[in-house]
Amino acid sequence: MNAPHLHLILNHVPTIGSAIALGLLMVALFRKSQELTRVALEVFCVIALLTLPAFLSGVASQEALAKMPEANVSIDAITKHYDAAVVAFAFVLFTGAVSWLGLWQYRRVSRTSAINVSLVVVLSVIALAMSAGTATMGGEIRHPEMMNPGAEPTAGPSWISAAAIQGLVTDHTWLWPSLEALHFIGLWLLFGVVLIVNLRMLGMMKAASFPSLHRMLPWGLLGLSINVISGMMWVIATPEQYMTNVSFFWKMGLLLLAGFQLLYLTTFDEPWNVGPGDEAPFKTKAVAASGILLWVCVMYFGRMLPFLGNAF
Amino acid sequence: MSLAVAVSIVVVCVVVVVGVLGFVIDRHAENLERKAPGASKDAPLHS
Repeated sequence: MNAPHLHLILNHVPTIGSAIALGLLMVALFRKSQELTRVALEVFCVIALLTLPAFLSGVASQEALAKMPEANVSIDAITKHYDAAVVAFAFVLFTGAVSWLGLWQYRRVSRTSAINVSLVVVLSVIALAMSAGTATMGGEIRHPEMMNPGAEPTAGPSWISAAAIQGLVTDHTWLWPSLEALHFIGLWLLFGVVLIVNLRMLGMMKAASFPSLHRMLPWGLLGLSINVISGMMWVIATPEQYMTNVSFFWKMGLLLLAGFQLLYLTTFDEPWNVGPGDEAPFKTKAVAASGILLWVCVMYFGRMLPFLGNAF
Repeated sequence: MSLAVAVSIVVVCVVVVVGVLGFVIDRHAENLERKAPGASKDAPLHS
């Protein structure tokens, strides 16, 4: 399997996944079910995580197609699809982040926030519309038969383009080092919180309850957000440095797993029940240890981008 | 303006925005916890 193959497998996840999650949330609101609302928010988080490989494998596919003139595909159609994917990706991720905040809040007060759920509904409708549009443009690259005779191809976003982001990053000398500095700040913000929370589950700082440390998790999410934004700006600016870089693929694969671990910390009951002086169950300790290991490996492969992958 | 000054301004601005966001989220959660029936600070509310 290669990146284009992976893209074919995952490219329906943002559209179909967002539709399913939004449907679940609507049913939950209709039934006034807190439990179903929580499930819908969890699905939005999973969709956001799975959209990461869907987007990156799409960028890799574009890079691969650029080296295959015999493929005879429209570069204009690919560019439109890419521009639309950037916007859809941002909205899907933002929906996932707000959903995670809703789950975090639910965990603390045992009920969902009306403001949070309303925001998730609005964002997910936009994310679904953007994802569906992106999927249509992606289909039109290889399947002109899906268009009505004489119809124009679906229009992409006119207000933003990947080329504009690329130009912003590469044409301004201050931006790349700023992103580097912010990436490191995001890293210590995220890893600091993740380390403290997971170390507590492993048996350190037993006087503190898990709920008291759980309160800091949004700071970790903010750190992760800084890193995803800065990281994706680099990927869009210089895709050739990442899309054939083995270290980058390891980093992204492990980041995906680490993201699921972050989700575990606030959605599962086991860690939440660890009170002051309590010993966490073995399963929770194993997940905590894997969380620390995963983030260390993410950092390792990030640092190894220029060495293992010969980029930069 | 030198590169170092430009980078510093960008970094400080983003850190301030993130700090304010984090603070607002934390306050909002604390207010909700105070309003929750039978809630006490840092006590497990959900089982």
